[in-house]
Amino acid sequence: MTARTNVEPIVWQEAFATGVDEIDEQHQILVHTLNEANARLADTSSIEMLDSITRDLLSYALYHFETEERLMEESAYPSERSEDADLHLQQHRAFSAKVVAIREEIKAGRRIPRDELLTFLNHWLINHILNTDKRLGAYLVARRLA
Amino acid sequence: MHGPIPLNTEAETCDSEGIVADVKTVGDELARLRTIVSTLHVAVQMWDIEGRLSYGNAAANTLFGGELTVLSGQPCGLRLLLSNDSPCLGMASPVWRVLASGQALTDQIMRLDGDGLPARWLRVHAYPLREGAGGELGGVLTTSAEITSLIERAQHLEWLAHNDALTRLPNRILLADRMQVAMAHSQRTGTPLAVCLLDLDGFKQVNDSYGHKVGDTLLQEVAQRLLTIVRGDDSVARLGGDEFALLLVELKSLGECELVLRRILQALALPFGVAGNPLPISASIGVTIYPDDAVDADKLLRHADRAMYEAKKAGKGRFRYFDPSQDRRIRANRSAVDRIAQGLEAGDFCLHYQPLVNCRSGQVEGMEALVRWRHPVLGFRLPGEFLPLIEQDDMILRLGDWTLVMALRQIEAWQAAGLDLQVGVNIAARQLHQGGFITRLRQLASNHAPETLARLQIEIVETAALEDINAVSELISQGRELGIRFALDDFGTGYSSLVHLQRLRVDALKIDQTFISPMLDEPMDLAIVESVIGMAHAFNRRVVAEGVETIDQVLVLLELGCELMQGYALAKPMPTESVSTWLARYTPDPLWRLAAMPRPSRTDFQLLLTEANYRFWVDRVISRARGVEDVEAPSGDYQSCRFGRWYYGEGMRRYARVAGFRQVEALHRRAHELGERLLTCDPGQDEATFLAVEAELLGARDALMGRLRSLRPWLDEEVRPSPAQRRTPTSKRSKP
Repeated sequence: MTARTNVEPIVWQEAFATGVDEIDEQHQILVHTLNEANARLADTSSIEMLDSITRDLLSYALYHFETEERLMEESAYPSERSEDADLHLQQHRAFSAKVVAIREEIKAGRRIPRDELLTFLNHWLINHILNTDKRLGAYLVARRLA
Repeated sequence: MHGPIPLNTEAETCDSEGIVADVKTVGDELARLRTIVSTLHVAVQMWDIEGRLSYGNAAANTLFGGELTVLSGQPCGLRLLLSNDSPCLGMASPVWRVLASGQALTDQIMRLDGDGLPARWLRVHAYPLREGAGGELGGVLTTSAEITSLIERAQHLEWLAHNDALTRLPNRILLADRMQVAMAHSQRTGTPLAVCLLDLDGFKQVNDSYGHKVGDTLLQEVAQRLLTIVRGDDSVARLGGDEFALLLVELKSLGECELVLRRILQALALPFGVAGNPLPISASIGVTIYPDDAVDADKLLRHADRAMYEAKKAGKGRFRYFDPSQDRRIRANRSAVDRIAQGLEAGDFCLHYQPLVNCRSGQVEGMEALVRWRHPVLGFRLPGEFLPLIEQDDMILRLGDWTLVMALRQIEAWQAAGLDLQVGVNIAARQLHQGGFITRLRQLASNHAPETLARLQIEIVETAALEDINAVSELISQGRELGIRFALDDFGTGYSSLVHLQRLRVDALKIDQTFISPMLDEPMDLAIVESVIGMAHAFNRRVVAEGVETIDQVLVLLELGCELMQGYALAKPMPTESVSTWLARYTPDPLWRLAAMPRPSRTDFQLLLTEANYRFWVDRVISRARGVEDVEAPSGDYQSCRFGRWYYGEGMRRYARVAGFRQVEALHRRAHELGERLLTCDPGQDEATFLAVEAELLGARDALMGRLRSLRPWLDEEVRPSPAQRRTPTSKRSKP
């Protein structure tokens, strides 16, 4: 794991965009949460700060995954691209499960180290947003044009 | 409108003291009138049809001095400005306007005496004078009075309405005006502007320690410092208290704004010497940039206020920008809460029940009600994913109340079906600490039979109880009067002392699963579990272990004296309709009886655990290979896995000389190889191979078990599980 200490905030860039405004706008919120975690978290951060950041992540999972999964359903993604769709849903569930697990650990007094949380979010940004979501975005954009 | 006054006189000046007292003739009558006019404090002047001055009283002399003809617009040493801002010259003068129109007029005239003398104001009335039977215009009468003090008072009131009397800075109203102007300008020119809200840190302490007078002086000094730093067209306003607003206009870059703010922070950080006291003070500033933050003036201030609050939270003495994307985040979070409210409204929530079993007697003692959200898009969502979003919102009260109502209804339904089950309901901190909760419980109590209430157990998270132990202990004793039972949930996560436990008259303590899951590997967690069980016994409370996942945990908990358990090792939470079927099929695991048996030593007990754990390990490998998502792949090679650690360590020390122990190693390595192979197989792709490897793995396991069994001749044959009683693989989390 690469330590990500005091690095510059991630600036939203065109390369992150899926081409679907609704999705991109919500992705910017995640980038914002990530930047906040980067700027504010220290390994000695208060439980309240971790609590509030992980709560934001749960909230994000709720509205954002609903947005994406609704778009998938409306566009027949699960039948047209069943493998992509399966993987996509799997990643969504894993994200929520991970955040819930982090919160359980915090409750038991085992707070997740700052870098571990940042690494998790960075990986999510790279593996999910830049990969899985962009595939969905390309599909949705192509369908809208057709 | 005044009518024309018929009066014809010749030019005359009169001394104010020249009053004639004795009047006897018509001539005297006229003289008397002249006397009266001459003594008036209002300046009275008469002008002929050519605009020449024909009469002026003493007050006119006093008011106009050497410039008596100024009202007829003759250039002179006095400068008068009419209310329409034009100079009082020629035809614009009151006298000539009346001569031209024949109409009376009133004007408020500003008089500038020059040489740095303050401006004065006059109110001038001018009337046409009519002559003869035809009433022809014969001249003009003017009356002039100084109204400077009146105007100044009005101006002061006007100023007070727009400025702060203490610091003489613009107030909120004037700031709003200036913001409108600045925002319009910014749009025209495309240059951004910054709206900043500044709040002093530590001002309250200054007021409290030195009194309001010192506080006021400090505020004046702050205002002065701010004014010396901002640039020419910027504005500084005081919004009230120790709150100031800054309007930084025509910014060429963010750097320019930051330069000003940094200089302000530096200037305010220098100690203030008020009344001989060096007052240490600093300021927190919130900034929002228009038009990046494209909202109205009111919202800009609110956004700056929010950023200011962030600056305070971040440690004071600094500035923070308002972040529109954070705002978006807050709104999105709010939408998630609304979504939950909609779901409850739409009937998308339901309760699942997880059995609570007494593992010593084998009895099912009750059920814990666990809320589930059947999300129309995302499917079944577990409380860990959505409860945290509403814990601090009144939404949690609605959900909690709904849970209570549903659970009571379910108890009644089970009673009617002849099932005697206690039901635990989780109640959030916010609901406990909300005043009306006991009233609501009483209301529910009046709608249900006492035997129904006696089966209700309200579960309170330990940390919530500790937030206000007096209120919660009062609530518990009142609830107990209604026959309701209480339990402290997630016990171990707070820091309850023995004293607290004595005061909280709960029936049971529930040990949090975050201690149960790792307790076999983490001595600290095991110590916590042991001490909670000890506390429960000492206070004569029931103790329940939550999240029990493996038979090892069941056995160790029984060994430690905890009989009541919940978790996947016993049963997963299930929908209401599955409960009766589950109960009918339920049989206690015969292995539980191990814990009750006499044993020669702890190490032999360890051997039992090891055996149980091995089965669990194989179960996990198979589940994972079959694609059960929430099962983590078992980790470690044959030496570092749990069994390996026991075998090469404790096991080797104790059983190395026992016949057959050495052969276990080869079986174990074989099982690992098969396990790794199985994890690379895809049952969907090549089912035949998968099943073959799976069968081989199970065979290796059984052979290994057989070897282990031969190591414990003391163990009674009957407690060994038959294959039919082995549990099927389960997924990992117990009480999600």
